[in-house]
Formats: sequence, C-alpha cells, structure tokens
Amino acid sequence: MQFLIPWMLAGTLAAGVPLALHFLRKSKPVVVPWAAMAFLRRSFRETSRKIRFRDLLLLLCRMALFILLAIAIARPTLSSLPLSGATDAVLVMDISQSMATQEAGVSRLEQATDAAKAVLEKLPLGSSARLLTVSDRVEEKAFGQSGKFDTVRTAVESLQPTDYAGDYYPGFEAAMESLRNSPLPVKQVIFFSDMQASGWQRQNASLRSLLEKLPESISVQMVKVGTPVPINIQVLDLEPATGITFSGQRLPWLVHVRNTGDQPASDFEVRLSLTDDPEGGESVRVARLESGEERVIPIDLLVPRPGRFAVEAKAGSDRFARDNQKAKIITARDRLRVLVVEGKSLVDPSRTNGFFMAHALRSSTGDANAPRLEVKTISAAMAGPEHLEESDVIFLVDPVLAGSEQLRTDFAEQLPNWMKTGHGLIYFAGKNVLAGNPEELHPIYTLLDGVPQPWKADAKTAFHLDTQSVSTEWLGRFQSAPLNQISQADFSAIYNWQSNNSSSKGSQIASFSNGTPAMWIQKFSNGILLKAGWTPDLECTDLPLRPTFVPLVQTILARILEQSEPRRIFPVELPLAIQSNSRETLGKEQFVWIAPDGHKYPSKNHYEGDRRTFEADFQPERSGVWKLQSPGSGEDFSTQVALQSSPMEGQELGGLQGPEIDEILGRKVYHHQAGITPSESWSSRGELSWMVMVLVGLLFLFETFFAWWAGKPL
Amino acid sequence: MSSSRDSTSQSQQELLERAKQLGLRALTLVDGLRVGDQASPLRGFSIEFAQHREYVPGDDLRHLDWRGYARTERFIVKQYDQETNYTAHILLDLSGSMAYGKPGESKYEQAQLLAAVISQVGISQANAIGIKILEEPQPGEPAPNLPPSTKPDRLRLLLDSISRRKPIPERNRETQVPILETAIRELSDKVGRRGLVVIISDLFEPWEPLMAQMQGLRIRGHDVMVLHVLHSHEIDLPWEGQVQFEDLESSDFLLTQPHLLRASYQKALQDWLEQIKSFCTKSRIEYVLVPSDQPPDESLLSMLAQRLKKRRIGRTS
Repeated sequence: MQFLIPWMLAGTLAAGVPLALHFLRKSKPVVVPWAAMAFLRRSFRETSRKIRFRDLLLLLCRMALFILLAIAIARPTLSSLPLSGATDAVLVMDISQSMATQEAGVSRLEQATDAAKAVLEKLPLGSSARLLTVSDRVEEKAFGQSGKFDTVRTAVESLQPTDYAGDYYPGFEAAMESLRNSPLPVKQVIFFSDMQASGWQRQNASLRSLLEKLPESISVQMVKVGTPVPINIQVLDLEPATGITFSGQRLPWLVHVRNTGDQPASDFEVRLSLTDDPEGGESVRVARLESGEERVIPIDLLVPRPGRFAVEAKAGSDRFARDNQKAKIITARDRLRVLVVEGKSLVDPSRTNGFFMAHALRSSTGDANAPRLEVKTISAAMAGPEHLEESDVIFLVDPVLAGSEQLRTDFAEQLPNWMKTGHGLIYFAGKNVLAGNPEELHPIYTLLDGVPQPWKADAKTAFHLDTQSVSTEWLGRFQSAPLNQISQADFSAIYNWQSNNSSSKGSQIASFSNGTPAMWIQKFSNGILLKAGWTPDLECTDLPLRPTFVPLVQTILARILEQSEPRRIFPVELPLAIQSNSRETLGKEQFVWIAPDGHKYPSKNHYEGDRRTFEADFQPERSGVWKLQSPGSGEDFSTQVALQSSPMEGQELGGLQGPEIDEILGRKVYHHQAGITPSESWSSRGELSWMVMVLVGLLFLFETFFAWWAGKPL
Repeated sequence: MSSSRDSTSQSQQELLERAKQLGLRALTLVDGLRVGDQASPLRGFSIEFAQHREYVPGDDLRHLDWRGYARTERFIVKQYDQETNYTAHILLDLSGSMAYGKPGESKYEQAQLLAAVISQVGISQANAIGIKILEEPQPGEPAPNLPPSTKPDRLRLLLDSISRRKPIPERNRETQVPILETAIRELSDKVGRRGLVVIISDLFEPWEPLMAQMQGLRIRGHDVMVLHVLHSHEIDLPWEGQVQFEDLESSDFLLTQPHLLRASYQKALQDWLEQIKSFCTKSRIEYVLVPSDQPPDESLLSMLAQRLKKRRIGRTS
C-alpha cells in the first residue's frame, strides 16, 4: 500500500490524545471514607474484568479513530497507481502504426494520451516527468520537473501514430537508463500501448534481460489500450501480372490481400488506381475473405503514357485503416527491347539455346496482338556495340567464347558501360564456358568476375533448384504453389564461379539442392548483372519444357527492369534518400519533400559524380507516396517515392494480456486497462480513502454508542 | 494544669450538654407516644393463655400442646401472656464504620438517638435498662458498660454514656475486628436471665458468625431486636467519577469508578439485607432498617413503643 500524502500519517500521533485522557482522568480521585468495604470489594471482583475489557475496548476504539482518520487523510492506495511521494516518472508512449486503430471514434493513441494526462495530473508535489515515444526507435519528447508539466502535457497531446512497426525494447532501455541516477524516492516507468505481440517479441530476450536487472527502486506499470479487431484487411503487395508495365494498355495487376481478423470479411472493394488519378482506376468487389485467408485479386490497370507513376491499391474499410492501402512506384514503358545472344548456330533453330529463351520472352507480355516486348535473337559472333544502343536488356545464353563463333570482344568490352546507364544483362553459363585457351580469357570473364567451373551430376542424380533458398525480393513467387514446382526440373550440368575478387561476387538469389549457387546478381551503378550457373538448353536441363519456365523468365526480366531503375520504394523506417541523374536537376537548387498529407519539408542534396543525392533531414513517419519537387523557372523537377510500412503491425491487433507479457518479461508487473475515458477509471483505481472514511464513520458510531452504554462519553 | 483541668471540665460540660440534648430529643420523640402514662396497674405475674405457635428448638417441652399434636401431628406450644418488667440490654455499635455520614446524618448519631429513645421508654416503665458501647479497642480505656438497673439516676447515666462516645475510624490495621459478634457472645455467656437485647448497629461484620450469635441469644430465650442503621449512600452507592474508598475500620482501600460497580453492589447489598430479614423473620427477631440520613419516622417510633411497652413474655419464648 502507498499513500498520496504520506506526511499526514503523522496525524496518527493524535491517537495519543485518548490515551492521555485515559490516564489524566485517573489522576485525582475523590477520597471517601467507607464502611461497606466488603460489598464494594465483592462487586469490584465480579465486574473488574468486564470493566477493564470495556475500558480497553473503548480506548482502542478511540485510538483507532484517530489513526484511521490520519490514514484516510493520507489517501492510501492499494495499487501503486496513482503515484505516491515525489516521483520520477517516465511515460513511454507507443506510437507504432497499430496505435492508429480506431476504438469507438478515437484512436488508441488518443486513449493512451488521455491516460497519460491523467497520470500527470496525479503526480505528487516535487515529481518529475519525462515523455519518451517508442515505435521501432525511442525518442525523448519532453521533460518537466517540480510539478511543472505543461511542456510534457503539450507534447503528449501533439503525439501522432507513425507507420513504424513496434519494438518496445528501446523504450524500456531508455527509460531505465534515465531513472538509474534519479534522486527521487519513487521511480516509475509507465508504458502506454496496445501491447502488440510483435512489439514484445522483436527483442524479447533483451527485454527479459533488462527486466531481470531492474533495481528494486524502479517499478513498471503497463497501461493497455485497445480491444480486439474482428476484421482487418491488409494490402500486402501489388504488382503487374507480367512484371512489366506498358503504357497505353490495360494490363492485369495482382493485388495481394489478407484478412488478419478472426471474423470473415464480406463484400468489400479492392481498388487499383494511379495516385494522380484516384477515380480513374478500377475496382473489384470481394464477396468474402475468411479469417486468416490470403488471396490474390486480379485487377486491370491502364497507365496512359510512358513514365514513372505511383500506383496505389486500397482494400476494404476497417478500424485499422493504415494497412488498407499500399503504394508502389512503377515505370511504364511504351516498349522493351530485349536482345538474346545465343551461342549456337542459327542454321538449325532447334539446336540453338536461345530458342526457348526467346519464346519465353515473347510469351511474357500477355498481349500477342500488340507486342511491346521486342525480342531480337542473334548469334554471339554477330553481336556488336551497335546492338547495345538498341537494347534495354540483353540475355547472353551460353555464348561461344572462343573460335570464329565467339562473342565479339568489342561487344563484351562495352557491356559494363552499357549496364551502368541503367540496363540489365543476364548471363547463362553452359558448356561454352570451357571453350578457348585458358591463357587467353575472353574479356567477358572480366565482367563476369571469373570463369565458371562445371559441376557434373552423375548418371543417377540430377540437380534441382531449392525453392526455399530463393531470394524473396527476386523470386519470392517461386516459394509457394504452384510455381514452387520449378524444383522438379532436372539440371544435369551446372556451373559455379570461383572469383578472384570476393568483394565483387554479388548476391546469391537462388541455389541448387546441393547448396551450389544457381543465380547471382551484381549491381553495376544503375545496371544489374544476373549470372546463372546453368543454361536453358535441353542438354543442360529440362526446365524450358516445364510450365514454370516462362514465369521464371518473366520474373527475371521484371526484376532486372526494376533494379535497373533508380530505387523509389523504401521501407518507411529507413532514412529517406534518393539519387537522381544530375542532368534532370541541373540548374535547380531548392527542393522540398511533400508528404502524403500535403505537408512540406525542406530537402538537402549533394553531388556524387554524375548523380545527385537528395536526403530528408527529418525522419518520415508516414507511409504513402512522397514527392520531391523543385518548383522554379523552367521545367519543374518532380519525382515520387513510395514509403511502405511493414505488414507486421496489422497481423495481430488484439495485443497481449498481462500474464502473457509477464511471461515474456520473466516477472510480474502492474497491468491496467484504459477505457474509452481512461481518466475516469484511472482516478478511481487503487485509492482507498473512501473505504477508510467509511470505516471511520462506522467506528465513530460504534464508539459513540459504546461510550454511552459504558457511561464514558468522550 | 489548670488549663488541662479547665479543658477537662469543659469537655465534661459539653458531654453533659450533649446528653441533655439527646435526652430532650428522645423525650420529644417519646412524648407523643404516650408510653410513660400507660403503665399497667397490674404488677407482678399474670398467666393467661395467649396463643399457639409452632415449636422451635429450645422451647420448654413442658409447654408442648400434646392434644394439638394428636390432632394435627405438628408440634405446637402454648404461649401465655405474662406481664412483667423486663431487663433490656442495649448493644450500641460505635465502631469505626458507624462514623460514616455528615454531621447531623451520621450513623452513630442516629444510633445514639435510638438508644436514648429506648432508654427513655424503658426507664419510664420501670424496666432495667443497661447499655454496652461497642467501639474500637482503646488501650487503657475500656468501653463503657452499664449493666441493667432501675436506679433513679440510670437514665442520666445512660444518656451520659451514650452521648460521651464517638466512633473513631481505625485505619492502621489490616483487617476488621468483629466487635459486635464478640459483644453478643459475651452477653450471651454472662447474662443468665432472659431479657431484651437491642442491637443498634450497621451490622458490617462477617454475617455468618454474627447470625450464629444472635441465634444463640434466641436459643437462650432472649428477645432480640435489631435496629439496622445504614446511610442511604451505603445502600445506593451514588458516587460518580474516580473515587478512592478508604475502609473506616482497616487500612484497606479501593480506587474505582463506582458507577461501574453500582448495579453489582446494590444487588449484593440487597441480597444481604434480604438475608438478614429472612433470618430475623425465621428467628422471630424484630428487625428494622433505619436510614441514618432521615429522622426516625412515626411508624418506627410507634413500633418501638409498642414493642417496649409491655413485653409479652410467655413461659415459652
């Protein structure tokens, strides 16, 4: 038990008043000479024990009255909330994305701020209060002491939910650190949150360790806001079905949605549109999405012209609106020029290894009547630098690297520069890698960072692609059915690179079942090189004959194109920075960032070679489409960036209960639930004054009656 | 010397004056009762059957009514009227406990007045009246004891001895001394001839032994009259607040709050009074409770007068 006004307990000394009166009254008796002593003695013997007990009871009643009165005035409280004594309080407010969830017209964060303000109101004299916010990072917002909490209160009221995922550990760590050397007798950490599981579990081991070392002088209080959300529709992703967006065509898109609630969602709309033309998009109604179900919704979208656009998908409407939409920046093309350089003779098409590749490429656009994907196939010996200017992406399918049919060296030497300007090169290694004089390596090997060496399967075993090893970013769609059937393709010959320069080896994006890397990517400035340790040739693999081959080629092409573009999609948690071609921003000095809600923020920029880097000197807290603009004379410069939030926040909106949190922390802490009007429940929680006053009243009535009956009024 | 002689004679004068005042008071009380002039012309013995009564142990078996026994199978005796002069022994309790009460309403003053009344009445009827003053033992100063006599100056002597003494509280001893019980025993042993024994006391002694001695008097054929003098305070215990009660006949004391004991005390006292009345009724002892803080009322005096006027003493008593 604690007391709001502990010094009033000194009033218990007043219990000495009846005790003093009890003795004072005995000090001066009347002396009476008496004859009937025997009768007096007999009566005294019969009643003395009763008299003494009655006297004692009355005395104790009167002392108890004073003591209870002092206790009631000292305002006892059973729980440690409201706070007692000068307190150093650290208020840690969860401002992660889920705190934007609506609870009967107010957000969870608004509920939490009400509760926090109620705590500030009840802090005893001499207390100090510190406000920290936590999402996936901690930030100190305000500090107040000696009872002056206006700045803290103002800071609390100005809080807004971010689009960051929750990680509660940094908040607790900072709170403990700030209290470590506090001189005040009472130290409290009060955490206001919807207690999402993901926030507790991201660094649960560190949290547990931190709480294990919690000093006895610091206590922790949890204030939970929010209620379970029965239906929550998330937009997980949106992408063109073929991976490539061509302008002027209604092309199919795929919008990935999921219902994370425990109730089915019925009859809701999924809409896809350009952010510049939100009414011009298309929508689909979904009749029912079961609890936990994830579905891909196909929706067509027309991008009117070539260029870079922000596309946004919205699905449904529920209490947690932040994950009902997602945006992406895409580049729409009017055409795509792909060059396939193959290694075999063109005389017998059935024997060329580029045949299957070209066929797969032509199948990938989905529009046979207006092919925007221009596929050209030439032999290695025919490929020259002039073809580089005509191509956006080049596939080198096991080109001959020696002899009269070898890949032209001038072509190979120009490839790096060509890639740096934002093009993609895909190289498939086959048996032609072994051709030629090892002493006179083809210049392509410099680009490829070494000569791949063969791994041969024996007659009984074959290699297979390990779909669980693929990069989610590049080949994520092959991790699940039906495309994970690609693992059934047999590979009889695979090749592996042994690089002399380990730093330039790139990133592996797929491997075979024996662990041998199957595909790598390497960045070349704005360009991408994808190396495959196999070739789509029937002498190497039966993959070209399988239905998963075309999707693989589509995906590789789409990803190559994406990666070749300047990056415009970022997680919202990361610092905002983009690069642009210096020529595009030539002559412009003033730039601003425009947030999705229209607020403007200044931008810093600097040059790096022929690139210009633009950075935000603030940390964006909201996901969505941000614009970088430079209004001024001449043509405006404008580019868009899509900041995306993590789907983790919307996965489980109910939050953990007290015992579950204690389980994670490895100790019991105090738990409270803030209601719609948390200040009301807050103020009445734990205080016992009214109960003690009722006791005082009852005891006073008892004492009065008892004293009257005993003939000893106070 | 002369001053001490003067003080002695002064105190004697005071005593005489006191005795005179007491006698006058008694006379005043008695006068209205027309006792003195109702002396019977018949003197000597006259035997006249008066009544039957139940046999009590000690009765002369010669007076058993055997016919009555045969009729009723109960032992009854015949009682005869015999008018004769009687001898009265007054035991006047002036022990420490009789000092209770303010002047004018103290127990001993009331007791002295009653003794004076009895003396006046008895003497006026030519009866032999003796008195023994019961008081705390004083070394070298025996208690006054006047044996019964019909001498002319007996009244003066009686009044003088009654008025001379005052009770002195004794607070230096640990326990009380049963003065009355001792006096009754001595009287019972010494006096052979039956007479009237008048006990004027507050009876604050152990009751069982006292009761036994009174019964002894009755067994020996004496008439016994008990005038129980008590102050109303001793009956009601009216005190409030913190009171230290100090025993008048010992060093005992008690610090208490009387209101807490009142109910229990009153009950104990009433039980005791009931016990006394019951014993006296059973033993045919005349008993009267006389409050000391009220003047003797008419009924009391009338009763005394009737009781003392003609003692009806039969052959059995």
